Order: sequence, then structure tokens, then C-alpha cells
Amino acid sequence: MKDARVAFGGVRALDGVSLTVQDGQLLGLIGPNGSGKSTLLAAISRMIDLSSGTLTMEGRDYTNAPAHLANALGIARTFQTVRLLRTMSVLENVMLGAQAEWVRRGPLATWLWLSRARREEKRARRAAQQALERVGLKDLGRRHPQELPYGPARKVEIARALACEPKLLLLDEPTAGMSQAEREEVGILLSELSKDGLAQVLVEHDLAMIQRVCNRVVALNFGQVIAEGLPAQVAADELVREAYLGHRDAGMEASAPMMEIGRQ
Amino acid sequence: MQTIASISSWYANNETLIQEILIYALLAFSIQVALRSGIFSLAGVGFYAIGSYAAGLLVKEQAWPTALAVIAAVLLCALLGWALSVLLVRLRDLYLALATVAFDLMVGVVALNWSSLTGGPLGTVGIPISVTTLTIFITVLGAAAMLALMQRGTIGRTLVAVREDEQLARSLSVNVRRYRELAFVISSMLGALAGAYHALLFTDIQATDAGFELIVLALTMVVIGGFGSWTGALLGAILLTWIPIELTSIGQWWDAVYGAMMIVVATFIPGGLISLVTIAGRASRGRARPSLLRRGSAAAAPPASSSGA
Repeated sequence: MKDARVAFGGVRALDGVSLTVQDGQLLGLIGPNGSGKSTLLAAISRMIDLSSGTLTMEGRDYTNAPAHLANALGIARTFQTVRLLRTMSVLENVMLGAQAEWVRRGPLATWLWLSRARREEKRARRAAQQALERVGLKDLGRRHPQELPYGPARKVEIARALACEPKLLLLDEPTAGMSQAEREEVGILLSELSKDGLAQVLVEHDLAMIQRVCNRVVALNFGQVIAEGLPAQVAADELVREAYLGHRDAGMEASAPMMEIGRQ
Repeated sequence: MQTIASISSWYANNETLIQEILIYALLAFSIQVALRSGIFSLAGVGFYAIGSYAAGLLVKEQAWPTALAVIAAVLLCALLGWALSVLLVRLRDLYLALATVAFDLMVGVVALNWSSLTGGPLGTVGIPISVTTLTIFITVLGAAAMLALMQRGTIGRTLVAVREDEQLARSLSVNVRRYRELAFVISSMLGALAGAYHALLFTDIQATDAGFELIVLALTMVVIGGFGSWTGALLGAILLTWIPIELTSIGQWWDAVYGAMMIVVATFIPGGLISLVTIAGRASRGRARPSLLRRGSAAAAPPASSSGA
């Protein structure tokens, strides 16, 4: 991502952000509410358009590609809220990720190419089961999402994104609302994925978690990068501390919890 | 011998009813396949009208063979349906429903005023009877098989995702627009089939045939039967064709009865009557989840969508 700008009306949600994520890198993205973190993920995954700037994935420009092609390029994501489909089992939800490659063939192929469909169904089921095992939920496949507690439900979302076999994984506050033990499990999982060579961008409010798992951190405020570097450096940065503890924007911090609830 | 005689006499007495059920089943499929894919389109009724005129006129005026006329009518509607889906690509939910109802009514107005082609208010009459009940039955079977495939596996899950969460679907490689177009075109073709068979079986077409009443009837069938599966649409078509004939004494109170049935089913059984069958089936296999009855309409689709079994 280079010099990306996104404006909503007069608000500059992203104001000239440049960002590169390498294979195996786990990039932490921090910043107060409204600083542009989710907008950044939405821009990378092509859920929203840039007003200027470019997006490249492995050297290929996809700035104007539709969102489903971003996934085809190897970008998978989770969302800030639980977005599992209630009419399907947990395994079938994860299969939505595992079937992504086959879905790219288009509706007619997936509808009418029966011999291939049967093979794909088996493959997707196996891949989805493996993804569930990877996040530690191997026995929950037959359950329905609404029967799961919040923590496991969020892990299912990670499994669904992993089932796409992405090269770049975008995680929007994956551990928000989880217990401490669950947070640690997810932290370990993300570190392992990073060791396997997966590039990741992690949006997270829990700075301890960021320090523990990330190997690089970018801090945003008002849509701009205010600090970048190793986790310890960024955490010590004067601007970052100011943005979080709120000298300039104390009012914003006070309203933060309400925004959080509004998004749920 | 007596049983065979009584069956054949029952069939002779009820053949019209069976024909109507089969034709309405195709129309109900047309609405159901769109609804299940999250497309609140009632354009199937407009294509019913276009299909009936196209097939009826080709057979009557141009003396085309039946099969060719039906295929031509269906392909014409597929093309028009695709064009309409492109026009309405940005519309969702109630706005889409209103736009497609407007389309249906426009088709009716055109049919009424284009007298040189359609006969206007006099209608198109004297179309030779050119299809058999068996042909229609086989078509319904074929359509049901295609819809059943569309509910299963990859495409089944994909269409549920398109219905429930478009953005999520996009993030998982789904070209949402293509899937919506497919559902729209299939819906148009099924509507056209229903109309074509109606014209070729009952020999006349009136411009008022495919009016607001037919829209309400088709939607009622799908809501009461259940929109989550083709079986629900079929059940709705059977019930709403058969019951009015059994209960003729109600007469003009029918609209009120439809309304009441709609309200009761939509409120208490959002998955439609077919979901009761599915729940009963589950219960008998010892996996009862009666909570399905109480959940909100967002989760109303009966488990046909979850093809796990």
C-alpha cells in the first residue's frame, strides 16, 4: 500500500498511509478509536475505494480490483464483529473459506459441474476441518454459531479466513471480548502462522498482546502514521503515548467506549 | 380393477386442479429461487405474462412447434431478466420489490394497450392446446432437480452468504453480482415457463391475468410454504391452489383468509409450513431443535440451506 488516502465526506480517514508487509511478518496496527485502523483493513481488502494511492500484492497492482479479486490474490480477513451465518453449521461456515478457490469459477460451474462439485465438496470439508483444528476447535464443527460462546465464535472466524489459504491475513481486533486464556491461545496461533511464513496485519487494542506477538508495529492517528518500528520503540514513542493517553483528544477517548458498543 | 377405475376417475375429475398446481409450482419456484438468494424480486410474475404471450402467439400466429415456442419464450425472458437485473443491480430489499412490482404492472399495461399484438382488452384467445399434463409434470420435476442442486454444496452455501452478508461473501471470493444475476435469470425463466404452459394449456391469455392478484398469490404461496427451499414453494402452490377449490363457500372472503394465513405463518413459523416438516423429521431422528420456530426471520431459512446431512 502506497500513499493511500480515503476520505468520507470531509473526513480524511486515511491520509497518505504507506505500508508494506513481508512474508512471515506480523504487523501490529495500533491507534485510538477512529484513527483509521479498520479503514486501513477495509482499503487493503478492497471493501472501500481509495481516493488516491495504490495497492499492490506481490508486485501486482489491484487498486481498482473488486473485493472478491482481492481474496483471489491471497488476502483474507476477519471483521470487527462476529459475522458467522446462523443458518449454517460451524463447519459449513468455515467451508465458505475453504471453497473460495472453487467459487472463483463462477455460479454456473459451481451449480452444474457435478463431478467436480463432489470432489470439491470433500476437499472443502477436509480443509475446513483442518482449519478448525488449527484454531483449536476440532469438535465444534457440527454446532451452530449461535450456540457458541463469544470467544470460540471469533476463533471460527479466524479459521474461516485461514481456510482460504491466504498469503496475507488481516485481523480486526480478533481477541476483543475474549478471556485472557483465549487471548493467549490466539497470540500463540498468530505467532505460529507467522513462523509458517504468513504475512499478517493485526489491529489490536491490547498493547501487551501487540508487544508479545508482533515483530513490527505501526501507530495511526487521524489517518496518518505517527510511529513505526519495533514494538518496544513504538510503545515508548512520545506521540503514541500522547495519542493513547490523550492530551490533545481527551474528549475522543471519553467517547470511545460508546463507539465500540455502537459497532457491535 | 375397481381401484384402477376409481383412480382414473379421480384423476379425470381433478386434472385441471393438478395442471394448475403444476403451473403455480413453477411460478412459486420463480419467486422462491430469488428470495432464497436474498433477492426480493417479484419480476417472475411479469415474466409469466411475457412468457405466456410469447409462447401463445408463436404457436397460434406463427404455428411454431410447441417445444420451440416454449424454449423461445424462456430464452427471451432469460435475456430480459438479465437486462432487468443489470438495471436494478443497486436495489435491495423493499426497493427492489417495489421496482419489480412496477415492472410487472408495466408489462400488464403494455399487454393491455398493444392491441395489435396481444389483442388488448379482448385478450389472446383460441390458442391450440399444445401441452400435456405429463410434459408439465416432467418440467416441474426437472426444475425442482435444478433448484435442489442450487441449494446444495458450494453454490448453496454461497447463495446463503450472498443473502445474509454480501460484504462477507465478497471477502471470500464470491462475485456477488454474478450470483445475483444467475438467481434473477433463473427466476425469469421459471416465470416464463409457468406463463407459457398456462397459455398453451388453457388456450387464452388476458392482459389482467398477471396482475397484482397473481403477485400476491405467488408471494403468499412462497411465504406460507417456506422460501428456504423449493419444497416449500411446492407445498405453498399445492395448498393455495387446492384449498380455495375445496372451500368454495368462503367465496370472496378469500383475500382476508390469505392475509390472515400470511400473518400467522410469518409471525409464528417464519420458515414456512415446510419448516414444520423439517423440524418433525429432525425430532424423529433425535436432533430436535425446536428453537428454530422462535428465531427471528433472519434465521428463517429452513435447514435445506445447511446441506450437512
